[in-house]
Amino acid sequence: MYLAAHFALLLAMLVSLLGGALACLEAWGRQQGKLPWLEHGQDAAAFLMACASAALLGGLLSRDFSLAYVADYSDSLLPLFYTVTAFWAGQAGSLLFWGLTLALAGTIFSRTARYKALEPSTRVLFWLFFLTLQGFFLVLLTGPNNPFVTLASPPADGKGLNPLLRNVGMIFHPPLLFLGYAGFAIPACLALAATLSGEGRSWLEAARNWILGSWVFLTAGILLGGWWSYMELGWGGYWAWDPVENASLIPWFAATALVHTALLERRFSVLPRTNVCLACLTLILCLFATYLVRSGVVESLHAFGDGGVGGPLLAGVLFAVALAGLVAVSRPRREEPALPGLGSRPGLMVVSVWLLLALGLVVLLGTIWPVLSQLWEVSPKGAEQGFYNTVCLPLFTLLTVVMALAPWFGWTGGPRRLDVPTGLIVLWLAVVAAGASLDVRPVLAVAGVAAAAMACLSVLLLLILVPGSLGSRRFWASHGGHLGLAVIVLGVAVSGPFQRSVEKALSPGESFDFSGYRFTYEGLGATDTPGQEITRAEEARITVSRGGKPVGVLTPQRLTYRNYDHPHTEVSTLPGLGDELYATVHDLDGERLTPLKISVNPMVNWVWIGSVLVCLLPLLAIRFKHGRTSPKEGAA
Amino acid sequence: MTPKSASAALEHPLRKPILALMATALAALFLTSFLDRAMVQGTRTARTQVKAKGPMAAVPELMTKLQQNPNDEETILQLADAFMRGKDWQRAEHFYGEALKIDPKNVGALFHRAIVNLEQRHFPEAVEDFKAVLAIKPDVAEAHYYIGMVNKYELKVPQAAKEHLEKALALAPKDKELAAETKKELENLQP
Repeated sequence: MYLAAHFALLLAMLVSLLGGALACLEAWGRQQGKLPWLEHGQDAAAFLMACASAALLGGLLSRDFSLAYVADYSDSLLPLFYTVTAFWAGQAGSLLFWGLTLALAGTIFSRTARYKALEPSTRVLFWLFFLTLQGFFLVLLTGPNNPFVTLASPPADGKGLNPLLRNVGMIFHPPLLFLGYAGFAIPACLALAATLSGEGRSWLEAARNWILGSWVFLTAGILLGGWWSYMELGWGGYWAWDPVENASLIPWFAATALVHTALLERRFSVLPRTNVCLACLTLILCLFATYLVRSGVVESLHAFGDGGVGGPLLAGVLFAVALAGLVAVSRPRREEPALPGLGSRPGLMVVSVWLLLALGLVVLLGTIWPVLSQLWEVSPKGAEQGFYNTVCLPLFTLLTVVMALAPWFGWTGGPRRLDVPTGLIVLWLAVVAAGASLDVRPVLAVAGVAAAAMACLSVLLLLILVPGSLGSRRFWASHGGHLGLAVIVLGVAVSGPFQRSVEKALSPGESFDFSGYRFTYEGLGATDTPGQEITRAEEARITVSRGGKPVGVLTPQRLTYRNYDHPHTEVSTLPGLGDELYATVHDLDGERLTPLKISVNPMVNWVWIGSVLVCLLPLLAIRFKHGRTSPKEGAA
Repeated sequence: MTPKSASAALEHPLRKPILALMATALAALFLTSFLDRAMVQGTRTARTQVKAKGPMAAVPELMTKLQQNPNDEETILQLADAFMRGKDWQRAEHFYGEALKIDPKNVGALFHRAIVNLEQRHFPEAVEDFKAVLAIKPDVAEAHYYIGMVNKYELKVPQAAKEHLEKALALAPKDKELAAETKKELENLQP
């Protein structure tokens, strides 16, 4: 079966590469007669990849340990849910998932009315770029990253799934990222195709839903990754500026910039070259993120290490940069309307785009710094959290301020009303000044909280003052999304700098006071279940009270998994919209906790509330009806 | 001007060179795939074959030797070392584990398995192995150093990091490089 699955991938690769060659020939001769062949070829490639994926899934479900991938990432006792998700737990499987979503995206797109409305010459060129990209992935999947390696002497049981991956956050974080990455292939290939064919801005109409949908998936993937880090790694935070965390954040900055510049081009026909560049840049950065995670160039908890795909991925990224540069830079100039000035909503949107790109550049440089500094340092080190916080947080704060003010400026210039933006700026300055005078440190956190409050208030005032906004899908999609982002900023600005942590070694019956709470270690419960997936579970029971009143019970655990000799720490939390209490046990000496770590995380749950808003509300802007955006639409 | 002629007027000046570039890329992908396949034996990738010429050249012979005598600790350790040098961490971990089943107090095997766990980012497991090393031989400064570093950077337990780095410093006055590095790590350790 696995030979057939490998053969299916080989056939899909052949179909993709030959399809790309056929599209190239057609484009060269300015013919479109073979367009149906290209579309059917894509369907066939997607079907073959789906068959190969089904074979891998079948191997996992039937616990066939003769397949190396199944033996490496599952075992006979792994629950069904985690067995399915082991599909993307390893390097080869996750690359197959990336490739499959890419293929399905192409097939779905070819059936949409927006695709059919494109000029045939653009469609031919689209397939040239898309099938080449798909062929590239299939070359990796049939060569260095083959998921169908079989073992001559299969083990009696598999190694099992890493306990860190047995968490809902981690289960959905990778596929959502891949859905986002793959989705951005459509706008990038469309941008290149439409620029080369001279079709103009209609590619943005065709790509609109793909840009939005992929942005939502990418955002959800990143935020779920943060939640997983918080709930599973047990260090008390959600973003450590780890190179692999950063890898997915870098394309997010470019994608968010694209969401905004695409809107400007659709409405005012401005920034066409910028949109082509940003569409390509987003996909290139998605490929670069894949390279960072799979090449072994950066040290990270989450990286796969070099599996032989690093070199080809880097070559692919460099080729894509050269191609996009060539297409975008030499694009013929057309008569384009001028961009409204800085004192207009488009002007402020361009400012926010520059801020996003600056953030992306800073994070990119910080992430690849160990690689770059190898050129002149013997033992290069990565940028530390302090660097990112010092450089990025002021930019994020500024971005939030611009986000709060922009809706109060007109599309063609000048503020729509002066009182609200003036009031918002005065409020922001007043809160920062009050914080500074009351010696609240760090001042940047106060500025962040004030900016977030200002952005939330701005949305609330829009809701009150702009008629019809309450029932407007577009309002909720754009300003609701901004509200979600402001809530995240609020949560980050409070929970990060004002987190309090303590480590205490405790024996049963001992108590300590921390941050206004009293923690009492009642005792340790242990359950042995030999032969099960979890062979031993140890749970500490910590009762928490405040001012003599009970608050709740924290039950941090240490779980020993069958195939992992060493215990795995499970976090326990007492959630709240104010303080969230967070406990982990790092080690045990008999029944003594050595130590128990307690963190008091203020307003951390606002990060997750904002995350839900920012991921769901922009989906309201997805349009199923085909048609161009009217310049008058969405004045709110 | 009709839409078609408008498109023609806006035609990209580098259309043909870009198409030629794409044709070259497609040919390169096809050739890469073909060449890669030519180097593959069975379902194994070419990469594995290349590795076999390097640090793992002795593996087939050692495996044969092990089949003849499955409890040959020396052969198991040689295999583990070979896989470690070849950066095949999972197999290295497996064989160090096998060696430890025969001799659970083999400090070298424990230390190497800890390093292999570090390479795989299995930090709690690495710490446990280093602790096992220290239980047998409490004066291994490197074990304290590594436990300290893992606690500092990965497990984020500064108290434990401080404790182990201080022990490493106390044990390693002669190893200047380790002492200097440990001192530096202690200095910038956040309380």
